[in-house]
Order: sequence, then C-alpha cells, then structure tokens
Amino acid sequence: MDKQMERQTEELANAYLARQMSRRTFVTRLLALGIAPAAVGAIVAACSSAATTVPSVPPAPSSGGSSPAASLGPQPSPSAADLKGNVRFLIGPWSSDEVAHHQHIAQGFNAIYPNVTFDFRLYQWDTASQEINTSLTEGAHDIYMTTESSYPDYESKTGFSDLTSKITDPSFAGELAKYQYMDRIKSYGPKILGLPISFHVEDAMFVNMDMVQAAGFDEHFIDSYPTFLDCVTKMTKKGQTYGMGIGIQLGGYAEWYQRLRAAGGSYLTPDLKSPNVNLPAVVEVTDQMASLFKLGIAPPLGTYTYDAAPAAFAAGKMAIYSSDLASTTALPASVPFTWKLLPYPPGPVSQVNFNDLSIYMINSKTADQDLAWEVVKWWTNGSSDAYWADNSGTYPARSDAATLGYGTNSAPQLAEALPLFQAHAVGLENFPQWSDVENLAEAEIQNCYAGKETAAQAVANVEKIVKQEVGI
Amino acid sequence: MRLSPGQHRQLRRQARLKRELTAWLFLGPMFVFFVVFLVVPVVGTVWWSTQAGGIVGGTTNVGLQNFQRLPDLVGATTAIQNTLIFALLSIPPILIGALAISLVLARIGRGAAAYRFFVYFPVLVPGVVAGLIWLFLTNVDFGLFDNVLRAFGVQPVTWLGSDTALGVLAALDVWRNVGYWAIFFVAAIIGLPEELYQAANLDGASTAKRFWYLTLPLMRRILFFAIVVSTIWGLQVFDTALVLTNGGPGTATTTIIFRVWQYVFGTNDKVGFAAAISLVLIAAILTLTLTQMRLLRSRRGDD
Amino acid sequence: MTTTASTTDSATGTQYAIEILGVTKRYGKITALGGVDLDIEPGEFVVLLGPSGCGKSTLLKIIAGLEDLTEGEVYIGGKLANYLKPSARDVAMVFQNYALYPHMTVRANIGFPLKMAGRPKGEIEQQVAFASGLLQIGSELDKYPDELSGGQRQRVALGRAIVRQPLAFLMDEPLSNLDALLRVQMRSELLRLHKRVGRTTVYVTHDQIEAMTMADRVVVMRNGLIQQIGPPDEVYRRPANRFVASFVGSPPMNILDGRIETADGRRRFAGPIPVEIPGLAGATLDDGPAAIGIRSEELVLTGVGTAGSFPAVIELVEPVGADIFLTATVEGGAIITIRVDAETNVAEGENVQVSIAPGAIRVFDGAGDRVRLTSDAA
Repeated sequence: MDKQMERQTEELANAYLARQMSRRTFVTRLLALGIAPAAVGAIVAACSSAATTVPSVPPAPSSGGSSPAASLGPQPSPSAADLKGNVRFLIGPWSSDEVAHHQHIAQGFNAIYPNVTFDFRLYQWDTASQEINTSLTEGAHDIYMTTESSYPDYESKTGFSDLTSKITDPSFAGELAKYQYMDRIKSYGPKILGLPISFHVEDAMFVNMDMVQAAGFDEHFIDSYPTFLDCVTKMTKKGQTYGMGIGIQLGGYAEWYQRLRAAGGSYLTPDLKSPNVNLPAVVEVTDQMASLFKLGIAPPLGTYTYDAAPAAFAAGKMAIYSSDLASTTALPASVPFTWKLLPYPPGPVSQVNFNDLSIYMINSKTADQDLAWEVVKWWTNGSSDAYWADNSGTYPARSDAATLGYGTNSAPQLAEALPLFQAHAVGLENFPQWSDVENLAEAEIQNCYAGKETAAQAVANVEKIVKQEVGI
Repeated sequence: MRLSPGQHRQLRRQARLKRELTAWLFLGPMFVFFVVFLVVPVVGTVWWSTQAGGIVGGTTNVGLQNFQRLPDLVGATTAIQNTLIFALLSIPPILIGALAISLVLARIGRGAAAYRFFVYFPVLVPGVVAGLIWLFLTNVDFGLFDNVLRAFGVQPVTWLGSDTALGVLAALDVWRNVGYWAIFFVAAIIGLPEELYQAANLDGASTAKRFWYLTLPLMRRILFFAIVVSTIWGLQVFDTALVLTNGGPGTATTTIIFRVWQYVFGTNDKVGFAAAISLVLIAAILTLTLTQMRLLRSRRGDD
Repeated sequence: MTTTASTTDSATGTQYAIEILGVTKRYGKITALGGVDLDIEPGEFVVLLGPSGCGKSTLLKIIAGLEDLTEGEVYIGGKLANYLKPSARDVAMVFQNYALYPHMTVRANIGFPLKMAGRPKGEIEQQVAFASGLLQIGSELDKYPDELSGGQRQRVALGRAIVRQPLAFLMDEPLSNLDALLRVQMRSELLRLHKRVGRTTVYVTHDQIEAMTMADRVVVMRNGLIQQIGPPDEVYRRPANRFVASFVGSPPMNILDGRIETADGRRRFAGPIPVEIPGLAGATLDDGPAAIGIRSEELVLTGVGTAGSFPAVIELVEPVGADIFLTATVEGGAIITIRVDAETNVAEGENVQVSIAPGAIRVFDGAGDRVRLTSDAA
C-alpha cells in the first residue's frame, strides 16, 4: 500500500468512525481505492470493533460541500444484520476461472453483509438458453447472467422479476446514469428486467499481424472485402495455415447474422411484420463465406472447436480466427507474434459488428427479492464490473469501470479495438423468437458452407425458418 | 356335510377376494409408478401437442396445427434422414460386434470377470462424458485417431466434419453399446446346453457351422430382443450428439430428438411443436417395432 | 504294452472295434480314470456299469473325443483315435437328455449329421425315411422336439445316430430320463435294434438291471477303475469283489463279516452264522478278517433240525409279485435278505430256520477280493 493510499484509507476510516458515512459507502470507497476485498473486510472489521469500543464520537462538523457519502452509491441501504440468506447464481463460463472471479466479488459483498452466502453454477454456452429456462421454471437459481439475445423472449414472459420500479426509483438515479446501454434494454419493452454488465462483441477477428504483414498488408486489409479476400488467400498455406477460421464460434453464433446485416438484410423488416432475408446481396455475402471453404482458406467445419481454436491460432495454424472476445482469456499468456482484434470487413451495404449485452436478472420465484436486488446492484457496480470484465475478456457496461481498475488484466488488444467495434455496432432485432431463429439459421447456413446446398437455397431456407418460427 | 350351491358361491368369492387383494398389494406400487411415469407423461404429451405456448408462459389450444406444420419444417427431412442413417450405421455393428465379442468372452475361463468389465466399461460412462472422451479422440491436432493416421503417413481427417460427424457419432454409439449387448449375449451363450454342442461336434459340424446352425438359432429370442431395443434406442440418439457436435456442423448431426430438445427448451415456446414431433416419432418407432416383430417372428418355436 | 511311435494301428494286431489301453484322466488333483484297459469286439454290446462318479461317462466321452485323456491310447476300428476330432472317429453318440436340436424338426434333427457331411438331399431324405421307419417315428417327422413324448425323443436321438452308420454307438444313460414302464419297453427295443443293425455299442448306465438284461459283457467300474469285466451271468454269480457283489443284483448279495481261523489244523470261517465252506481248505487265504457272500435266492427256509441250518427272526415281509423278500435277523444281530416264492406263508416276527444252498457261499478276503475256492467250477 503506497503512502497516498494509506492516507486516503485513514481519512475514510476516520469519516466512517465519525459516522459521516455509511458502512456501505465506506466499503465501496475502499474498494474504489483498489484495495483487495479481503483487506477491505479486515479494515471494516477493525473499524467496527473500534466503533463499538469507542462509543459515540460526536459528528465532526462538515467541511462544507456535499458529504462524501452523497456522491457514492444509492442511499438508504439495509443494515448488515438485515440481509441474510443464500443466493444462487447461474452464470456463463466466460473464463476458465469464472467462479473464482465471482467469489472475489462476493468477498467484497460479504465485507458489508457477512450473513449472505453464495452458490455459483456455470451453464454451457451451447445450452445456455435451455439451462436457464429449465432452472427458471424449477426455481433452481436466484440470479442469472443472461445474454441480450433472449431478452425479447424474456420480456414477453413472466419468468424474471420486473425490476422497473427498483431501477427507475429516484434514489437509484445517480447510479443508473453510470450503466451504459440502459436505453437498449429499455427499448425491448415496457418492463426492465435487469442491469447490464458487459458489452460483448460476438464475432471479432483475432488477426496474426505478422502473417498479414508477410502477405504484404497492414491492418487496413479489412477496409474492403476484395483486399480482405486477397489477404486471407495469400496467408493460406496448404497443410500449414488456414487464412481465415470461421464456423468455429459455437454453432456459428451471429457470424453469418452480421454478414446478413452488412448486406442490408435482417430477419424481419423494421415493423417486424415480414421477413427480410432473401435479398440478392445476402446471397452474395453467403456465397462469399462459402467460397472461403471451397478455396481451402477456411478450415473445414468441425476441424476446430470453440475451445481448441485459441491454441491453434497461437500455434499459427490459422492466420485469423473468428470468435467472441472472451476467447482472449483462452489465448496462451505469450503469443509468439503480434496480434490484433479487428472487425469483419464491410459487406455490400455497410460494415457491421454484432454485439450483445450480458445482463443480470432475478428469478421471479426467488423469495427474498430485496436481497437479490442488493446483490445485483453490487455485482454490477463500477468496481465489480471492472474486475469481472477485466478477467473475463469483455467490455464492461459501466462507464466508471475504466477508472476502477478495468484494463489491468485484460489483453491490451481489447481496449485498442473498442472504438472500431463501437463504430459499427448492431444488436439483435426485437422479437421474442430472435435467438431460436438465429440458432436454426446459422446451422442452415453452415450446411451451405459444407457444400450441402447452394447459398441461394440456404438463404431461402433461412427465410422459411423465420416465417415458421415467428409464425407469419 | 354337503354345502348348498349358495354356500359354495360365497366361499369361492371370499377365496377369490383374498387372492386378488394380495395381488393388488404387490402390483399396486408398480401400477402407481406406471401411471405417474408413463401414462401421465404420454397423456401430457398428447395434450401438449395441441397447444401453442411454452412452459413459462400460458398456452392456447391450436388443435392439430402443430402436426399440420411439421412437413413444412425446414430441416425435418434432414433430421429424419440423419436419425435413420445413424441407426443403420450403428445398430448392425453393435449387434454383430457384440456377438463376436460374446463368442470370445464365453470361451474365456481365466480372468473372465476382468475382461467382461473392460468390455462393459464404456456402458458405465455417461453419454455426456463419452462425448467428451470422443472429442479428445477426434481432435484434429492432438487426437488419438489423427495421430495414428499421421504415424502411418496418412492425411489427418476432420472427424467431426460435416461428412463424417454422423459416422463418428455412430461409432461412439457402437463403442458405448457393444459391451452392453455383449454381456447379454455371453449370458445367453453360457446358458446354451453343452450337450447340443457335443452332439453337433460328433455330427460333424465345424465351429462355423455350429455357430450358424446352433448358436444363432438358439439365440434367436435374445437377438430379436436386441434388434428391437437397439433400434428403439438408436432412433432416440441425442445426448452424445449434443456434447460431441451440438447437432452440427450445420445440421449434419441434428437428429429427431435433438430437434425436440431444441423446441422444448428453446427460448421460444414451442413445446407443443416438440410434443407433436415426439408423438410422430413414437408412432414411427411403434410401427417399426411391430414390423420387426412380424418379420422376425415368422417361424414357430419363438412364441 | 508298448507301441512304436510311428504306427497308429492297434498294438495287439487284433481287429477290435474299440481298444482302450491304459487310459487315465485327471482333472488337476482329482483322478477320474486311473488306468483303464478294455477291448471291445466288433458287434459287441458292452455296458459300462457303476455308481455315479465312477468314471464310466468320462470313459465314454473320451472314446467319443469330447474329453481329452491324460494318458493312454484309444483305438477305434484299429486306428489311433487320440488325436482325431469327434466327428472323424466314426462313432455316434446318444445323450442322456437326447440333445435334440430344439429349433429343428425331427426330419432336420435326424438328417443333420448327413447335412454336415455334405450328402446330397435325396440321400438324406432316403436315410431319414429308413431310420424313422425303423424307429416307428415316420409320422412325427415334421414335428419339433418339444411336441414329442420322452420315448419319441429318444427314438429321434437314436435315429440321428443310426443315419450316420457309424462303427460304434456310444450311449450315455439313454433311458434314465424315461418313466419305468417306457424304460422297460425301450430296453427291449434297443436290443432288437442292436440285433438288426449289429453295430458295436458301448452303453453307460448306473442301472444294473439294464446292464444285466442288455449286455454281452458288463464292465463294472468304481472310482475310475474297472472292477470286473464279464458276461452278466458271470458278474452276477462270480463277482470279483465285495463291491461288485453288492452293486450287482437286486436285492444285493448278503455279505456277512467274520474271520478265517485255523484251529486243529482245520480252516473255518467264524461269523454270525455257522457255515461249512467245502473248498476253503485248499484256497490261498490267510487267517484274518474275511467275509462271506450269499445271494438271497440261495437261502432257503427249512424245518428245525436240518443240518447246517441256523435260526433267524423275520423282521420284514415285502411281496414283490412273483417273489417275497424277507428281511431277517440272525443271532448276533446280522441282517440277511431271503428271497422266497410268493406262495410261502411267513409273518413278521416269526422264528424261522434257514439253510444255504450248496456251493452258494463266496468268500472275500480282508481286501474284499473274492477268493477262488477249490470247489469252484473251472
């Protein structure tokens, strides 16, 4: 602990002992200084025993201006003794140490509320929506980390608690302002079901820049499709290196979808009344993707799985591979070449990057809704989000995360690429069947990649899938 | 003392009542389980098949619409094809392999228990774990299969590619089930009367002929059972497809039950649709089983 | 007896149908056959008789080739058979449980050996028709074994053996699964068949009546060793030892234990009853424990005072049709069985006087072997 931090800690402790700030505020500010949760717990415990042995120090006169507590966090918070119980999480397996990251956040929470215990269970990405739906029906968990893709569906049902009144409560307004992308959540419907924690790019290109340079290009090779194709063609060395690994991301999640959007298509027209898939430009981009396989630029489907791809990339077996940002945590510590995160090249209509939010939501079957709400607030506060996003390989949703430690552990490539991804970001469309359509559509398109059907057939089938699933 | 017909009737009734009471006492628990775990779900499935909506939200009755829409479903043919091809690829090797293994196992005296355990071991591995094991075996860079190919100087194969994934899935199924049936067959073979083989031996039947004229026909019943049951199982393949390939690449390993699973637990309230598919599958399996029964039970001596 | 390694022919040069030389069979430490020698003439009906576990079935299976032997040689038709597979030994076997193929019709069962030998269909048909006619099962040809009675199954099993026209039939307790009446009937039918077909037959049974009625020669076995080989009559009348005496015959021979004593230069048997044994003087026999054996029909009820007679008390009277078996106690407590004809009027508890028919007494030495008496016929 350096001198400055020591002095700040002392000041905070004095203020806390002088009852100038709440216990919660005290803990939050200690954490904001970058003190480890375990250490924070020790400091708070020491101060608390001091507070009981040294009774009622009269409040020092305010040094003018707003009190420190006013600027920190939502105000009336339950006292430590009030909150007790066990909170069960169902969360995504972002990184290999995912549970440890959550336990770290839980330690901070327990520094204030020692009587709350936690269980963390991970779902599998492949079966996330199935596991969440089952758990929701059975009341097996209290808090869920969901992806935005299913949000329109959740919005149309009653499985998750409606948090609108809590989130729009004036006392929460100061805090609410720090959640970015709240507008996106609000846009899906009248209810607000949760608070966002990450802004996640689902299909970024992990690019081996050494190979790009050797092929005679720089990072601008993604500025047009022809240069992109030229570059990946040149980087392909038969039996040694594939120029561009696609179809690796789980079920191809959103991989083709962002090409669909780049070609000016979408599953439904903006009024959500008719399909908008079967366009010539969409067939064209689909054919482009399929030809990567035909030309041997992309490894045949099934060669690399989501889990095996990072190692293959690090070993130079793929010059580029397409995956989500969490893949950064799976890359070896030292990759023997320079690499960058880049967006996909433009399509016939625009350059597009698909991203979605991760959101914490509460099971409507959970008995102690207030406890769950306190926990969700803690998990999505600036320092928790910073810590989690930093270690799980994604962008935090909180605007204050950057000042609270984000970027200390994550790959530097992430921060560098953020502006690129934000520039062309698109999300999903607001209809409840979106994620099922997406799953079926990507599988259908992969049949085309595998040479089982033409691009035109696959695109026509996707349009049929949209009609069937949406029921139009 | 002669009893009147009325007295006889009464005594007979009492005796019968007592007997039936005992019978129900024993049958009762089984019957309850039967109703709770079989009748209720089946009736439930029939009810669901007429509904739109999901487990979480409410439902509405749509009559037979779910069934009417089935033929138009994109990928329906593929799922049916995949399931049938899978059954054809997996069942014959399972049964032939199990028979071959059982013939060897039945002859082994010393260490028989150990060999039987090794043969049976894959059966004990849960489907999900089996899927994971095979993920490692089929990995292109460090998996056992491609390492062997490389050792022989053969080009490595993308085992889970769209043309081979279904075959790998079938191979996994063979690996998992061959031991199960082998143990069944061993028990059957050991139970065959020794004297028949001695007689056949004296009658001049070679080993191959003894197998063909004695072992096979004498195992007819168990073989028939194995064919029917493994067909039923084969048509329901799912868990390994989920873990190994998640139905892909594309829809290469998307089977009928995989589609059912997608619809039941998918985000998008298609339980009724899933129920309709299940009922069609049940009907298909029933038809197939009855056909098999008719074909296989053509001759006397099998009743 | 030695053979040169190069020859597979019978060492003796005699054309026996089956020749067994010094055959032993051991399962680990257990000896099932302890060195068996047996020659069987062509066309002979030989019965292997003994209690269960005596090795008779093992010996049969060794002849058939279904069991390996530990030592010794088996010659069939003059050829060394040790290393021939069962089907090459030219023998057919009939099993205790018939061993019919349950999934084949009678026709297919009988024709099976011919089918395996690759004979043409027409010939198989002809042979099956012949055998089934011989065995009177011509009308059952299209039935399955489980539709047949025990006797019919037995005939099918025989038919299957007959069509092969083997050098020898091997029969392993073929009648033991039949009820008593059927057994008697099949016994005579088997004999008739044997006379018609005229093949060498080795027949295993534990039923001494079967052995006595059917055999040309009986081979009595015990504990893996042959006790006696001979025609039924000889085995019955001149058992080689106490075991054979007590195993053959119903009721078994009366055996009375006592001692051989020499007093006043005269050798006599001292036992529960007073006996005069004419040929004892010149017999090779030392003083010591011994026993005498007398068949039940060779004991006669006589009047008091008859020379050589002794008193007995009737304990049990068992009429068995033409005869009555009397169980009686003699002085000293020994029990004897007397067979008298049905007309005899005796009651339980009655005191009677018993005498012994001349020449009826066999003497067994301390080891149980029968002692040759000078009075015995050559």
